[in-house]
Amino acid sequence: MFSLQGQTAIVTGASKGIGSVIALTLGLAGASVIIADIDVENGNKTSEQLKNSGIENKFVYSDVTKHLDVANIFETAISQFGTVDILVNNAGILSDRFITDITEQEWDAMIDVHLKGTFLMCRAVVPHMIQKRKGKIINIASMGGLQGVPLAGVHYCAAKGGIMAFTRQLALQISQYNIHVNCVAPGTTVTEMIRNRTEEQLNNIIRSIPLKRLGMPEDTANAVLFLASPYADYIVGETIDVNGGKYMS
Amino acid sequence: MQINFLNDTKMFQEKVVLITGASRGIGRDLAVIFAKFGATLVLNYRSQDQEMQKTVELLSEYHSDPFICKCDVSEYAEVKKMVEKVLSKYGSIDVLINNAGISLPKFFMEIDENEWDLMIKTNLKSLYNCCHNVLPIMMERRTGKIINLSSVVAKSGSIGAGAHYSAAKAGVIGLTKALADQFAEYDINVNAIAPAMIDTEMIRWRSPELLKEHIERTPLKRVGYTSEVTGAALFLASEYANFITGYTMDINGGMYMD
Repeated sequence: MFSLQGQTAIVTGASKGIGSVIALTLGLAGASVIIADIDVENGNKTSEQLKNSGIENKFVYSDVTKHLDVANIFETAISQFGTVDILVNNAGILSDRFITDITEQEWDAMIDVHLKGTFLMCRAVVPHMIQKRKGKIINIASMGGLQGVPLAGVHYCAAKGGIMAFTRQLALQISQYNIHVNCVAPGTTVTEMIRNRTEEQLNNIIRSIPLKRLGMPEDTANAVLFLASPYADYIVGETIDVNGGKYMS
Repeated sequence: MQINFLNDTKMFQEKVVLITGASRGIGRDLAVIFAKFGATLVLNYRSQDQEMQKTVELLSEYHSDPFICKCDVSEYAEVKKMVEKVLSKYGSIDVLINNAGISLPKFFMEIDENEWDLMIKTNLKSLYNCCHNVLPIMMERRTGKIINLSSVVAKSGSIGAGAHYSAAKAGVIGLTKALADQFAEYDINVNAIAPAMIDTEMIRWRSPELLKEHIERTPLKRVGYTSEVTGAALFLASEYANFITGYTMDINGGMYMD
């Protein structure tokens, strides 16, 4: 249904969680994949896993908040695969600290990894996509950027809301070059990020979701795959809600 | 959930897909794409016999032999009869695509009461009729996907379409959310699609100048193709979208971003 044969995708934060499943999904659809992450051990594991599934890929150790690292991600993609067709800005962190407990450093780190990381990655890749008159940029936001949610801090929700505003504005500016910029906004998803939640907390969340389950990384990855495909070529500046009906925008 | 994406062309095999308004435009191309992916098709239309014949001919290329139901979906009794016929022939309906609709571009003060009523009946009540008759089948089987065709003008104001059309299409979004909420417990997903200018007969009412102006206002600088709507419907009807419900997908080239 969705062939990405011959295309190259960069996925940030792809060593584990939703990012690793996005990398696998795009790879299974035929794309070559750059796995960008600050976590070397899991990055190598994911790379190995993709290789075992027959997916051409390369792990690049990188911090998306550092412009030199970002340049290295892009250059590695070009030197390995010759092109970048798809960029998935997925790298992120979660914290549920109450506002008075958030240090200035924590605020900066949260905004940097989500917003500055997305900005730096797009800035690095967009000239190449403009030149090719073709590209797909998919940013991973969150339901927390759309409505108040339990178990997330104000810095997390502010950063995720910012990603959606960034997406719309970039879409407005570069759609004319046949570059498609969109978001996926998952609800609470089963990853290591929520491992500290108690069973009671999770059950409360599940009760509040019309479809009565948590999201799986695959749910988000499938929406990313759809946006990366030609089927979505008239969609720009859009956010796909993958949240089981919890928030209907 | 591990899926081999390159080998899923049979993903709608043994799925019964009911598409309303399938004689032409987006409805016809919806029929074609679901046929490509192996669906058993039930196609509804109201009056355009020749156009429907063309759709059937197109489908024969994909070895699809659709069950044709000619009826007016704005009439409850006719829909009830149609759904009964489908049920006795196939035993289920897995996907319902509410696509049938009319467009009557007109300034608000020129819309008379009959035209208002006709618009609401054709573009909104028809969804009540179809959902009300099909949902019991999906509830019993505890699975189903409903996709409703809305429009960018439901959100953006009329952009030349009539106010009655905007109102009916906004009603479609409200209905989509309410049904998504109420039927999620039966694992039924209800979503909407809100396209802008898609290259079909329906956009031909615009003068060339107006069309040019609308394209200028669209960040992608072009109209959309039917494949860009049908592909979205295919995704939303597939198991890839099992966690998406109550969502309205904007397919508008950036004309309106909310």
